[in-house]
Amino acid sequence: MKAFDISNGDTLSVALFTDVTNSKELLDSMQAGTLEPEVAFLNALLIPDIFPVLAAAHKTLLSNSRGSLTTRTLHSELVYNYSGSKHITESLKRCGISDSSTYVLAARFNGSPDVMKAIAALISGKEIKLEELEGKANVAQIQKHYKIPGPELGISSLADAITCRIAARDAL
Amino acid sequence: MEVDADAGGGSLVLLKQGAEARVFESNFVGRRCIVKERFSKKYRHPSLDSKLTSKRSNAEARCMTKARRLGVATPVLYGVDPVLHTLTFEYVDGPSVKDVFLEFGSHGVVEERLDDIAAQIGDAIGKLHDGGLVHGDLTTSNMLIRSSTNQLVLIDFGLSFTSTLPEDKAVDLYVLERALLSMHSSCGNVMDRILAAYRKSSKQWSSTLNKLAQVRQRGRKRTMVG
Amino acid sequence: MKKMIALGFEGSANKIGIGVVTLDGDILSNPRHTYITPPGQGFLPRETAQHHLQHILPLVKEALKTAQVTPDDIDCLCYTKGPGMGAPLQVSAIVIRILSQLWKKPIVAVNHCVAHIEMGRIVTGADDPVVLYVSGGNTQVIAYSEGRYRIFGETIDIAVGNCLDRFARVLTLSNDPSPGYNIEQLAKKGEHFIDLPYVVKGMDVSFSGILSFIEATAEEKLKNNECTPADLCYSLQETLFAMLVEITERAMAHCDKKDVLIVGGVGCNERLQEMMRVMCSERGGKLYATDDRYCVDNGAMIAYTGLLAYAHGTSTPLEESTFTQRFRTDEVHAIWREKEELKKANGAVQAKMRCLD
Repeated sequence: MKAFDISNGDTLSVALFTDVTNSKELLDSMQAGTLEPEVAFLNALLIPDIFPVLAAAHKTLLSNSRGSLTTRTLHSELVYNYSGSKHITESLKRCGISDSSTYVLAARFNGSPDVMKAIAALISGKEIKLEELEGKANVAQIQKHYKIPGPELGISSLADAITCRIAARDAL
Repeated sequence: MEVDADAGGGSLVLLKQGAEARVFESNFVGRRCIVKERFSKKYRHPSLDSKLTSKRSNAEARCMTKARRLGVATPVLYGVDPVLHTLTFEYVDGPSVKDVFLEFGSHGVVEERLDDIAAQIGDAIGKLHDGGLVHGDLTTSNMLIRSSTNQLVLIDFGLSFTSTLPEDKAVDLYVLERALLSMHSSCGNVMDRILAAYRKSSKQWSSTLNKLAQVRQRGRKRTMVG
Repeated sequence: MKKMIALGFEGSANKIGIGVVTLDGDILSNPRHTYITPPGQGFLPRETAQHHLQHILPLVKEALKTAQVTPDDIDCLCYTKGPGMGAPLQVSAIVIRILSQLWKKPIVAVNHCVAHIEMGRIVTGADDPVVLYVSGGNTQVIAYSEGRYRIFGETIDIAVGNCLDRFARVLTLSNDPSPGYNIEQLAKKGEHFIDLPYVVKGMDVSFSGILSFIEATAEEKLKNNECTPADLCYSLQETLFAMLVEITERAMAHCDKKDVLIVGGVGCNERLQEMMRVMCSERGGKLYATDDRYCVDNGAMIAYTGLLAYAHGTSTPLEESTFTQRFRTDEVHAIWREKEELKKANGAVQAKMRCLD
């Protein structure tokens, strides 16, 4: 588990899990609205580095402070923002977890140690360090989802390419 | 000046007051960053002002990320605030091409370095243009050289737009040519070196450079009436 | 010692003007005559030249008489070599050649744009400003650097004054005293701002798109009572001038200068001056502008600029006293500015040395 300062004292706490076996259960309780405590589950295969998640968190807090969330909750907004796309359903499906997910990043805004303990208890899997993100990311899937062409990777890391898409999504 | 504000999660330190924006240094979730705030211009009509301010802020966010897709280095965009008209992006450590060239002007040209920079400029513009992106404000102030790698980084995409017309691309080059002439005439003919690299980089170089000749010609004809 | 005096001839567009000036910028006389065309019409080279021919000699006599000088008192004869319309330029060029031989006086050829700048500097006291030169034929943002007035930004198609003049023809406004003046007066009654194209490219601007847009839509909008002619004038001015102020500010940021000098016929426009003043004060700088006595083409500005060059050892041999329609501002070697800069630098060094003592 690791906590990051995002802005104005708001933090994002994250924990990375592999070999997760109860994704279906987690997904069901999330959809039923009975997941407690509230938390975001992200498809960690699409996360080559924590930085773009933090950028998405920053964007989420900014919309929240203006009362202009697009999705129902702060934590679903984080998943939606991470996708860099405007399709809400599609975003939640791709960047959130599915029935069969085994590799998951849990993220929670302003999570106290107790809350984070409770979240870890929800997940049946093995917690690993964030340093593992880069090696375990699915590069092909990231390139496809974020539409990252070859020339861009000549001047940019995958993580920076994702960050740009998250930041620029609403600039129309 | 130190201001506590929530734009990058940290304090803002004013670096530069430009013509249409204030540029601050700050911190964005742990990384050193630049916050660029477009401010309202009191001299112009309020509705024109707000239209231009948000149009340019959005154009900049969109076009700097589009440039990266085309393989042209720009700062990594971190965040956009549509209400305060701020952009937050990567802090690039290094001098502007303007500073490098002015240094050449006063202390003698380092040919090898000038060649490298001119080649990178021509290559970058060629890539932008072939991808249908026109920068719109190509001056040496809007180009940085990253100290760690000597890589050219283009900035200031507020006047950028997408176009495939040779006319728009030619005017883009013409603006740069004039900026070089007015500011860096003591560096020799940098534009020729830039255009040589542009020809190698852009598949459509021939139609653009033909148009450039016409645009230059118009420039000379324009001084007909006092 | 007797003050140096010059006689200057300006006739590059629709005004013919003769001025008598001393080296310290005293204007002893500055009469001029303007060729005014009927509403809806611009001025054509042949008719304009005809007008200048009719008025040039009486103006010379008037200028000398008002200044209370005789040809003997004059040190040099200055004329506009260009840029401008060929036929009208020719009138001054010929008259000055004859007078030079008749009175045995040297000739100095002057660039029209540089003359506007130097006149503006001496009248306002602006030392090293960014210059916005706006007239019927020119739109340039200029700053001095390394011996020349360099053009940082300009129009890539038509001049701002040309855009205003042609729009005045659409509304068939009077050309007396000038179409721009009448647009300015009408614009004061405008209430509704209409969105027009806004085209800034780096430090350059483009006006032809705005003109064709407003030409194409004006009639329709007026017919449907969507707006009044005053609204159109108001919106056109607001848009054109915002573009001009923007590129001027960009040039200021680019060359790190604080003050602005506006010259040229459109420079008389008070709304343009007001907008520019707001911009300058936001940057901690100052706006220098002149009224129509100096903004509008005149003979004194040619006399004064020619005299500056003459006092620094420059004159034009008879066989080179030609005229040219194309003559860029940055082609002129501003030798007098170099000497000024040198003096300033020397002054600074001396001041430093005094400090050391």
